[in-house]
Amino acid sequence: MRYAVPHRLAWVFDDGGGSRPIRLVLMHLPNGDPVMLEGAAALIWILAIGGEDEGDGVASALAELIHRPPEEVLEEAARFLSDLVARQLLLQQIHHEVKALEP
Amino acid sequence: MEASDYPEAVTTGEDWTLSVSMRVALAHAAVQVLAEDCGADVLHIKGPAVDDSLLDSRPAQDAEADGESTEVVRRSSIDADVLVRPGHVQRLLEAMQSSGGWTSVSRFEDSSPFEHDATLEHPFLGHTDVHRWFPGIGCEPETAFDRLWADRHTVHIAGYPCAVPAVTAQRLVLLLHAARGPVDGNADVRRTWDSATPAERAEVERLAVDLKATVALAAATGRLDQVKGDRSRELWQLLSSGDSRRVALWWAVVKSARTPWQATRASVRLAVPRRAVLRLRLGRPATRREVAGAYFTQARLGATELGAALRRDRLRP
Repeated sequence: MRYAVPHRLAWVFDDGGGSRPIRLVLMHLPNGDPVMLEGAAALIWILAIGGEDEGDGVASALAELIHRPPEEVLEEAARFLSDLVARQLLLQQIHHEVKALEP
Repeated sequence: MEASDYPEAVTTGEDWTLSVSMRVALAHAAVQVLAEDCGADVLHIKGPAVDDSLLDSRPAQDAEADGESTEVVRRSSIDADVLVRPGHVQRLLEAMQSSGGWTSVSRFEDSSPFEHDATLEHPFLGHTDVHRWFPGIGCEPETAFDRLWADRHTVHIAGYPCAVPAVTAQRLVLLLHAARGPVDGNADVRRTWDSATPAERAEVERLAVDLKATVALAAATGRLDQVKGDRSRELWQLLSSGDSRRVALWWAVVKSARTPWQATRASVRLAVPRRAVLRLRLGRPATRREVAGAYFTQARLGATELGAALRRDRLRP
């Protein structure tokens, strides 16, 4: 399983310039209610669409980025990923489907 | 942030505000989707649609950068700008307004002496300017759009694929836009013309010939003295020098009109107050009485400027 950006979901990213948490705004086009993810929440979404496999891969990468033990973030990251999928802010794909689309 | 905070980190747009650049990028993407749904051809221009090669860069601020990395400084824009195939303008405007997101702020007739764009407002995404043509381009708007559309390519704005003109056309559009104001010290002129190679300038000039945009290009690049006998020369001289006197501009627009009908229309439009400007000034739609008052003020202002122009001409040796 992998994650992808749902069709017609726009996203903009603000890295905070080092002085504030990173922010990610997602919006279903053309007129959905905009949603903001901040800090670790934004990182999870970015890691997920970056190709990290399932929750474990995302959680491990997140743990490394925020300097925490993986087991400390694993459960919450998985729960948050499920929440994003339920809100249609993230699309879950099966590996072989993704591979079929790749050149 | 604690791990248990993650679900609460999802918040909707009522409790926070976005930077202008983020709003503008989202607006481009939203308009693109509406254009696809209604079958309108749209080119995204200016702001986040501008190619990186036409922007400034600076040393990267990333703490992990090696000291040699650079990052692009995005061109600031307060609204989203799109150029629409003229024959598709009405369907896009209807799609935007019927989507429930956008409302009209100003009509084409209210926008400028050129009547080139209409402005719509979205409660979260801000203003979007819908251009039906671009001032400075002298050929038929549909012909110009065809030329720009043929060389388009796709970039992702807010993660969504949007069609943009070729880099040469982007260079020309930024120069034509610059020519509508004082060009001395203009950053777009510096980036797109002063810093261009001879080959890049030659490409821009060839495109300007195709689009009949050579006079405005000459104004942007400080070469209007080489233009002889073109009826729009005076207009671009006034605009690019920052001369906004109403009467002088009025005469120049009327003289540069392509047809007598356009000249008449331009003269009427310039002499009446714009409802959209009144609305912005008042913060609400103007009443009939306020519009009437504005007519009187504008007429008096025009008469004052005309009087000054006449006196100046009379005293000229």
